[in-house]
Amino acid sequence: MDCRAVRPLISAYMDSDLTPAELRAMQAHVATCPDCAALLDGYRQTRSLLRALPQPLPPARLRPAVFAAATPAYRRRAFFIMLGQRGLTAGAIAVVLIAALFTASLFLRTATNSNVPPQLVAVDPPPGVSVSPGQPVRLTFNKPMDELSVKNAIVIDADPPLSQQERVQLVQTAQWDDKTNTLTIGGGYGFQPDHDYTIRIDPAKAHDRANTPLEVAPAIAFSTSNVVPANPSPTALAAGPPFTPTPVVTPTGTVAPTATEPAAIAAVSPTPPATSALPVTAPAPTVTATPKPANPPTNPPPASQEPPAPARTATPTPQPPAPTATPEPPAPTATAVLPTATTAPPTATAAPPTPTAAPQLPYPVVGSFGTLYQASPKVRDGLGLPSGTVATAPGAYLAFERGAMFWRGDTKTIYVLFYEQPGVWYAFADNWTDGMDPGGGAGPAAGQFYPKRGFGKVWRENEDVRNRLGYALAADETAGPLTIQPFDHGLLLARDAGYVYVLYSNGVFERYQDPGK
Amino acid sequence: MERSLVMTTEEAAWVARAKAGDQTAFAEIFARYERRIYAFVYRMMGNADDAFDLTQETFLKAYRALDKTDEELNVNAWLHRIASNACMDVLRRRQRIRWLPWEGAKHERSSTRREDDPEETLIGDETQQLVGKVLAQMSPRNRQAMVLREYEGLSCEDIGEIMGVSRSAVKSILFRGRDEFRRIYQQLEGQR
Repeated sequence: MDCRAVRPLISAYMDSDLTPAELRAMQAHVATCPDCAALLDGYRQTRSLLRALPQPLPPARLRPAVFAAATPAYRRRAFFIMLGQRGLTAGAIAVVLIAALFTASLFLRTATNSNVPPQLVAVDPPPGVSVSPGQPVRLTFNKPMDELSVKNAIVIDADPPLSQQERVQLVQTAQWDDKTNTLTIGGGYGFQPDHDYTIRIDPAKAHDRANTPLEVAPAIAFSTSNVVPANPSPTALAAGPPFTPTPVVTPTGTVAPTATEPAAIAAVSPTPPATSALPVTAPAPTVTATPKPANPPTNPPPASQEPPAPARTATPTPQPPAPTATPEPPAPTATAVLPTATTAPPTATAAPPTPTAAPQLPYPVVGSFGTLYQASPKVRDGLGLPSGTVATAPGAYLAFERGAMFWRGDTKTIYVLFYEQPGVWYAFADNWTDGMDPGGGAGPAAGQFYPKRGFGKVWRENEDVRNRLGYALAADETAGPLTIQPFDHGLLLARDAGYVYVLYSNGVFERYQDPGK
Repeated sequence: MERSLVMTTEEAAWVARAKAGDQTAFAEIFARYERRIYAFVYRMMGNADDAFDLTQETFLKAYRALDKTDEELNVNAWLHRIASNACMDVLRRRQRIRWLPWEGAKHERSSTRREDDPEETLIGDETQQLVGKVLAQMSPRNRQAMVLREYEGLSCEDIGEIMGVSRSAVKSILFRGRDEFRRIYQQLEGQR
């Protein structure tokens, strides 16, 4: 058997498509023919090369785009099915068809007019179904909408009822996509498990870009399953949904993403974070208070689990001043404290940790932090190398109208995060002690509260903080541990709520959804 | 390892419901096949824009053609056939194989390693780009067969169903495709 006759057999061998006789002949030839043996190796290499290609994931906008386009066809299909099910005669169907065509012609004439009213044309998932709490809801409109008005028009009801804080947080997840005219709500851990939700877009508030009000749209009702995705392993996370920059809401409700990187992990720009947005003229925050969570840990906060990095005191200026040797800001007029970042020079070439590459880092970056750090060159380059291991500290959290406060028990620090564009954060020393005025109480409007204890003291004594944060959205803080890891140029911060906060040393922060939550 | 195109009972129920106008059933079909079809189209076309457009077109055509399908519909083969035809139409219209910058790096990667194939090896970005260029320079028909067989791991029978040719024709196409891939690969590798 010559080589020309064997080559097709070698190809067929790759497909397990040889008879026993062909197989024997092929193997005998290959054993003595270096050229055909090399060809077989080449075929195997081809298979390896192609199967090792990564599987590209479709962009999130594909699904709404398909369903928005499919909806008219769906309606036509449902229409004819309805006719058939009701047993209408051919004559009746013809009459209805003529009427439908007439109506359609009117609609088409209207649709060509820029004044065609905006409508909600598709919903994903379809109403009435049960969805995973991590699955977002996508509302697709027939034309570009005024983004701010739509976001302000979101009305969410749930059974069991949501707290004001949960409702606000859910609304804050809303993102508008201009390419598909789609509003996405939820995703990540946006919805609570085992709840019945009703989402409505208030037509009195929502309008298109010509100020034409939204046509009245039915409420969207759906249930969430009680299955909360388990925290996957780093490998599984890599196969799951990406970390997604979460938008933050400005005082007027304008959503401004805290990160400019697109949803695709690999599309994340390696550009370091923006330069500091700390206001030059902002008054130096005066801190004399020590925040105390509503339900403080029964055990006293442990000492820092990290070797205490040199704390830096700094006024909130665009470029933080050189670190001082003062580990704590001088009371009672402590200034904003930058995070426990070291002054090591930037190392933007930190390789992403992988299960086998972890030794390349001075400290492991694991779990959700590791996934984010590995997935986002921007985060990696912005933070630099880890300067300590991940640690858990006693903590507390309080949401505000335009931001949030975190209390970190191990270093007695209050982090104040302003949901601005870009996100800006300050840190204050925690000097509040028992016996001081706890503050608190109901605010001027329903759902508004004065923050208590340490949070309240920072809020009351710093006009800039007060004005930028607005009122608290809950009467009390939520106590719960914080997970923290320091880096050369910032820190990663998370509590068990589905978000990872990236606090860069230059005063900018970003928030990412944790797909593992 | 070959992947089966055998329709599951669950899929049969989806098809029946979707044919009856139940849009949630179509949503479930979409959810199951969105990634696979997108990846196939991406490998056929070599860029994310085409992959988006043609995947969208595939599912819209599928949705509109549900009425014409029978109860024994093999959903995977059917969707791949629609996607293949959409890709070939575009390639024919362009009269040539268009190569756009390989955009693999722009995508989230579900995994760089397939769990069902222990033989596979990880390859670097540079090699991935080279493989993408090779695919782009192949004849569309050979590329289609190679992507279905070597990237997706489908059997010759399934590929024949998707391409609308006999099993023996698939073997011939794969033989030519393997040789074409290797020839172009060696040529481009020599230029590096």
